Amino acid sequence: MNTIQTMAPAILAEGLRKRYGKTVALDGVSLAVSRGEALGIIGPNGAGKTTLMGCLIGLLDPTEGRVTIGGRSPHDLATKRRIGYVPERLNFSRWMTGLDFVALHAALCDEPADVEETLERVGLDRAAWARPLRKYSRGMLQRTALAQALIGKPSVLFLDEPTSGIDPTGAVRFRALMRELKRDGVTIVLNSHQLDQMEQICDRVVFMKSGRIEANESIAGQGLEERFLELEGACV
Amino acid sequence: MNGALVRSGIRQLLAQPVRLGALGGVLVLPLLQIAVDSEPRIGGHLWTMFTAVIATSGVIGIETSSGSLALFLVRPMTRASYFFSRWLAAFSVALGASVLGLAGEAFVVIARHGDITAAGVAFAALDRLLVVIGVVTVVASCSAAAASVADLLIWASVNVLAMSLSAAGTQAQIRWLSIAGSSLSAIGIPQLDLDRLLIAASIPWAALTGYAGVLVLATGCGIAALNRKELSYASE
Repeated sequence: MNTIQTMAPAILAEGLRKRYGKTVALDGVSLAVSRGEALGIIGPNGAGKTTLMGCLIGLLDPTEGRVTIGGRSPHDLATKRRIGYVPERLNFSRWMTGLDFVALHAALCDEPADVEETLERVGLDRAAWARPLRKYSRGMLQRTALAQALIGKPSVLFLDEPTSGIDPTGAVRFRALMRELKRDGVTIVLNSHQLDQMEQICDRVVFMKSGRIEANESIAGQGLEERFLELEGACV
Repeated sequence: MNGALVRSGIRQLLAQPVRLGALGGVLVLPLLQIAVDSEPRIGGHLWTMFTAVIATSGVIGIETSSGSLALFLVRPMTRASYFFSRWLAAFSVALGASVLGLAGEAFVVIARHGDITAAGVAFAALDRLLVVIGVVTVVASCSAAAASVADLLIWASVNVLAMSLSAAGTQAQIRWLSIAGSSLSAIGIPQLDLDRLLIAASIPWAALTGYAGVLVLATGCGIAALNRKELSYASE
């Protein structure tokens, strides 16, 4: 049993369908992500990328199909101990300070990392730690969200548009951090519109459109932007 | 139940100026009433009911709307544990405000040389405790099902409907309509009639099981609503 779980892919989705009334958000999506691999999800707005991520982490229940993380359900507490998540929307707990926010999430984890070290790791200016989140810029909120995702020492990290408001220095630091996490064996699922970032972080990308995976390809040796435009054109 | 989540819940409830202002209002109004009453005495639990509603409204719904809930629910804890943590936070705030209100009322009655006894204060304290437990449980359950502060609307609708049915039943002398109204009222505002409870010759099991039944039912509905909740803006 343990051997099977050890051999299982870090993330496995089989035949995922998700409907909202008559709208089909996911239409038979299957994918497998190996341990330590970084997978990028790209596609136009409304392609189903955020719905897919919601199903993978157990915030949405697929209408059909199955998801496992390390061979277990995403609802399993053992799975939740292993995952970190950065959402796209960041208007959470705005009365809290950045330090309190990350400390609260540390208190919800079994074996958390050091709060201050984690805040320094994501590059949040120490002067901002004691300020309430409502006074943070989007970039600062994204750094704080990344810190809360890393505080539980996750082995699988889900990132939904993690750098859309981050300045160039922050983006460089983010990419370095992702490479460091990959070296440590962390599996990464990155949903982003920033293709250059995908090229620098991801080993493989899936192109989504209308709730389906149109292509699932290794990123090595090709221009992602050209390939994306080619697929976009092919699908129109 | 998670201690950090309970503490953050209490801080969150007390960090909202509108809620604090409303709580201040329901604490001051009964004091003014006693201050001008020709026979000053400690009042009933009407204002306690409002205190509990104000303290609890949006305790889960606001976190659902803001996106905080998604971050909590990917942590290694059950949704029931989250529900009980938030319930305890709202209960603590409601109970604290109710105790403060009762102390204030006792102070004003004493200052005006009104009718007050230790037994009377103890009776009022127990009565208010039971109302706080009941109302917090019902409103927290509504909050688990609704976004933002829509729980307030659900709770008010139930009580308006209960009062309408009771009034219509009494006016038209239709007994089942009156019973339906009072039963619905017992769900909206679960309470025990302590006067009857204390003078009864035998233990009034029907009243006790009715009160406990509403608490269990409301808690079950709240946890079920939370377990079925889909947490992604993609689902909106």
